[in-house]
Amino acid sequence: MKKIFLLILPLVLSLNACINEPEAPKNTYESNFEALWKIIDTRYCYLDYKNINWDSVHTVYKARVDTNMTEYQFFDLLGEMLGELKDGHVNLYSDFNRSRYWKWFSDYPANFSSGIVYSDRYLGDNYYVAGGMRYGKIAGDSIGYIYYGDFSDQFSDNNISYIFKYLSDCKALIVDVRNNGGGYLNLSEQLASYFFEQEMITGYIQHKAGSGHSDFSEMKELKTPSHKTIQWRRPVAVLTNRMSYSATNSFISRMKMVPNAILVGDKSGGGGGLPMSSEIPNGWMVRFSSVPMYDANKDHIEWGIDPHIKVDMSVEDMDRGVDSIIEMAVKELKKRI
Amino acid sequence: MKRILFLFSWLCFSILTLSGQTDSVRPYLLTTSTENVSLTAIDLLDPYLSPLVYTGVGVGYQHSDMKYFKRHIGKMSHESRFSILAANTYNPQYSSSMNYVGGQYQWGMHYHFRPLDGLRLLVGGNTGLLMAVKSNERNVNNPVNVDAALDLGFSGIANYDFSLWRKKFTVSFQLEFPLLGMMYIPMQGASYYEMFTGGDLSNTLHFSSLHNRLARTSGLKLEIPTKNSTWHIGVSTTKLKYEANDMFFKQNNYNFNVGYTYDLYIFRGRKNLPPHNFISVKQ
Repeated sequence: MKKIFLLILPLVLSLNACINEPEAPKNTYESNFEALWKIIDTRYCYLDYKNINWDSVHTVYKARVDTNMTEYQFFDLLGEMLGELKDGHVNLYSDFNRSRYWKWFSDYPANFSSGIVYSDRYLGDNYYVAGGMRYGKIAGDSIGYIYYGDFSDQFSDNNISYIFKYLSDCKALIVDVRNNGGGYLNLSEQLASYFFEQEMITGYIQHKAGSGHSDFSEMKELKTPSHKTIQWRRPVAVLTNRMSYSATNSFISRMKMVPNAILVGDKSGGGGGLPMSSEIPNGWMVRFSSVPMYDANKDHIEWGIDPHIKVDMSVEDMDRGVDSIIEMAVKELKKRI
Repeated sequence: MKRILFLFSWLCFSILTLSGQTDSVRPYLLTTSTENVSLTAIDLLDPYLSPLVYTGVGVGYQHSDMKYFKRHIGKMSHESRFSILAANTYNPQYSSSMNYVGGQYQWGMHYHFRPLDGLRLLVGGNTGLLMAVKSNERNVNNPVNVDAALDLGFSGIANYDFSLWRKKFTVSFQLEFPLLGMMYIPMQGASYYEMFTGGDLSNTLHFSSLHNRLARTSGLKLEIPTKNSTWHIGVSTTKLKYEANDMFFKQNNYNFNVGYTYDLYIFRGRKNLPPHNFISVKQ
């Protein structure tokens, strides 16, 4: 009996010694700065791709941390540091503000006017709405038009089935995802699946697998399935602008592989890195790109996807209530009908 | 037809009578069940969700059944145990919350020693399956993590019986810790889209032993006999820490427990003792 105790006792007493517990970070400006810098240093996925010298960023911004600064000033400093990443998926969230980088669209033409899209020339007042999709017929009822403005708006097979049934006498379709800032990635896959005749590899994905800037897992194929029963096999145009971002960017990347699809408009905004979250000792949350996605050629889509036909909305057209991008899409689709 | 019914009735009666006669001499093993509810203070560190320690409170319930093996009466028993815990925790700044819901099933065996009068030592091992979900709603693409582990470990109980006010009280100390098993840990950079939509679960299953998974559950309770059952109050702690995929996880539970123990064969009052061949694992 004693032997058993003699064997067990040291084992139990030594249990805590085998794994070293990391020290809990302190809630000071300095440790919050270090915690945020380290999260990006070890987990952000585009430091090498964007050729960012993150050590240099540390030197520059650490020197500006001052224990006398206000919380707002400290937040602005951290937000400015994150701005160096030039990434719309990077934000710092506090109870009083959210830092953001918006130059990926604010430095470019808007290329979208909701007033024109909802004018009588296009959707008008009597359009239908199903699962976040607004749809109707344009160009003398010859072309179906769907505006989908948010990949967070869920839709179902039934929604799409009814939409396609309503547009069944149209010879071509426009799917307008301008100003769609993204949402659920699985919805971008689902929406694209209605246009594929067979499953295809439409991209690749990998994630950070270590703390080094180039430590990534192996690339895994991203396949877009073909929907079993609901299909649109006639020509389709996808309208894009700089605010087509994130999950929308992924949808555009997939649609570029559809044989009878054309991308019309401006280059998409990008946002190819799936964002994840962490937090720093003062409770502020940071969102950052962690999982890079690629197109079917294994090229990054972080900076956006070029359309087949580049069109900007002209001021003259807008003054006349005409959407240059929709008009170009109609023209190109009619060539393919 | 009447003859058949008569023969069937006679056969049933004979079997029941025979089994009743046999029961009077053959040992009959009772299942001793324990119900326990707990109020738990909990610390959680899950770096997949957050690098900060979240603290909060939860409530738990546990049911266990103990019984002697037929061929080792008085020497070896087996125990099955099912427990659940739900808790709500917050980060140090109360700016974010993390919910925890978990369940565990364990099965184990104990060898019974009686080194001193009134002292019973139960030493053995158990195997357990843990499944828990932790969710941090503020997060994007990493809002949930799963604790899943299959453990094989040590289990020991020391019971000391003493009499007070002509009643038999018991003080019980329990200690458990896993020795080896398997555990699920996601890659820190992997999103749930890749894992559950893309089906990429590579590098998520890990062999665990004392080098990467340490846990210790210990508890002290006082058993107080009442008319038909035995009530208990006590405290217990579970300290768990594990690491894999460059992440260190921690969970500390501090429980205040209340519950009762009873044999599934209910007798009318403490003074109406069961027949001598009805054997409880508490004997």
